[in-house]
Amino acid sequence: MSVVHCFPKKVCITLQRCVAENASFYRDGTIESKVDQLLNDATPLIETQFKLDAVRVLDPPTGNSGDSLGDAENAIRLHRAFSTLTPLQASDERLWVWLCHIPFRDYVLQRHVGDLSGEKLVKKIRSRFFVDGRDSRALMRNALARLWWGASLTFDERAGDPYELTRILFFRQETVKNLLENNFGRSRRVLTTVLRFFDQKPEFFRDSGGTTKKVVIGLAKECNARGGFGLLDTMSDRRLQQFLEASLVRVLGALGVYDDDASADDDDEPINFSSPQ
Amino acid sequence: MRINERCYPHPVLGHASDGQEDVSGSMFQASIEVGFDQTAVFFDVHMRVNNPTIQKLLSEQKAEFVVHVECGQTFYRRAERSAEGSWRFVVSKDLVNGGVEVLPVICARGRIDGYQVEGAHADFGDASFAIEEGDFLAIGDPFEVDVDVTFDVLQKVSSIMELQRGEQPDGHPMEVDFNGDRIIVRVSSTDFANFRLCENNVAMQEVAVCMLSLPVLIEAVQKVVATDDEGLGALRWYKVLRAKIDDLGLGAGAESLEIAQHILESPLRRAFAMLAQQLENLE
Repeated sequence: MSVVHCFPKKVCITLQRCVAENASFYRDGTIESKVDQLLNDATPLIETQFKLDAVRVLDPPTGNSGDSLGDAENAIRLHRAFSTLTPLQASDERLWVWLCHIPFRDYVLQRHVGDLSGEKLVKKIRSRFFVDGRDSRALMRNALARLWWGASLTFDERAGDPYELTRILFFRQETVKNLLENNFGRSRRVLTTVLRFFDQKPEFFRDSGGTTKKVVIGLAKECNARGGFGLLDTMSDRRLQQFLEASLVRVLGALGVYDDDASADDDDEPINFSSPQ
Repeated sequence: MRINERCYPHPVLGHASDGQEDVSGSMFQASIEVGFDQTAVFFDVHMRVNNPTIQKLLSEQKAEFVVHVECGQTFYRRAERSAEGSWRFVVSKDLVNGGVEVLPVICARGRIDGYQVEGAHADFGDASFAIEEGDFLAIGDPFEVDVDVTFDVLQKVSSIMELQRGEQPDGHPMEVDFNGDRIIVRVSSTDFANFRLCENNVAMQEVAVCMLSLPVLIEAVQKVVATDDEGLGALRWYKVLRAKIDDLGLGAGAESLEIAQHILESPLRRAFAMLAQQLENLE
């Protein structure tokens, strides 16, 4: 077990500022030499209370999509390895930037960088090795923070398999993006209800084609729209489920997946306006 | 939760567009006092509404007071609900960081058919609305609370301390050396071996913090707060501790025991909680 460190803030800032000029060092896996130049007595590594057996934590992807990316299993492993991390600590970029640059550098390169070059490479390094922004969307772009947070937000210690929803979340990339990069996904109750709903409808959320992507995006838009004039958070589970059912029918109707558009029996129209004549 | 300029599909008390209030002649007042201690943020909520339609819905439990709390940096999002207008809720500081958005509202608790609110703008005419569970009926002013974290949430305090196997015989008290960049704590071989065994157990770690780190830290704090730094001022542990004590801002009258417990973030509470949890698991 090795001690987990984090970079001083100053080192994070300097590294982030120099991504373009250091891109080739990231690309060939030698960025640690640049990191070493920034660490000295005045800005030493910061020791944390965490310990880690990095070699056994994450597997590189074996393919380009779905389970072959290994996100679900890696998220579970990372969450187990950092099971005592608090949300406050897990929002600290210094930890994730150190983990991405030192113990998990190869994983981040294999999972997110691949053969990229030029501006795309720089952009990818900036978003995946760093926390490029101040809010949770930036955390969800970091290669490791997204795994830990995805597992943390879906972990249910009362369930037979506490990581059942984690596997559903990471089954498709658009699920992660559309649920966790939207505000409603921050509500654990809403998030878990939506994921259970996905699990109940494998015909729409488990295909390998483009339909699932469109349905997930459509449902996320429905949730956002509904959040514009009320709180999904205070809805009962039953009502939330009804809302998702009605939203799915609307989305499928709009996509032409169903011949019979559901608007006739839809009681969830955003504008429910009746004026006596 | 930020509320950008928008129009609602039904009249909402407290909302106005183009300078025209959806509902006039009544008000929704929300006063939320925010307090802090080392580990938590306290919200004391006082809400009041004098619109007869909404008052009636509240009394019939068809509506409820809600404070929506959201932290963009930590994925924290909760709706704190109450049938009464005054209550207190607490958010652990472990769950939030930086700006926390707070929005007071009154929401429908279930479907309300034929909703017509007294004082609705004339443009709504005789229209009635089907309100769904969760819909806003009244909305207050959103505001942001800045939850400052004054200590390094990741840095291990014991990084300024190092435990070493000493040469003293079993039963001999631990010895502490403050003269290096790290504070060196030396214990007997047996104590050292037993400490290592405890290290992999979370509950035991917390107990060990109370047994080892707390008394050493108390002594270290005494040295830092003393006017004469005994020539220790250039040492790394001293500088780290000095910065932490300044960050805590406890004032000149704070005792070393109190300061050390703040720095270690309530070690007794955590140790007892962990031990209690272990006991529960055993049962």
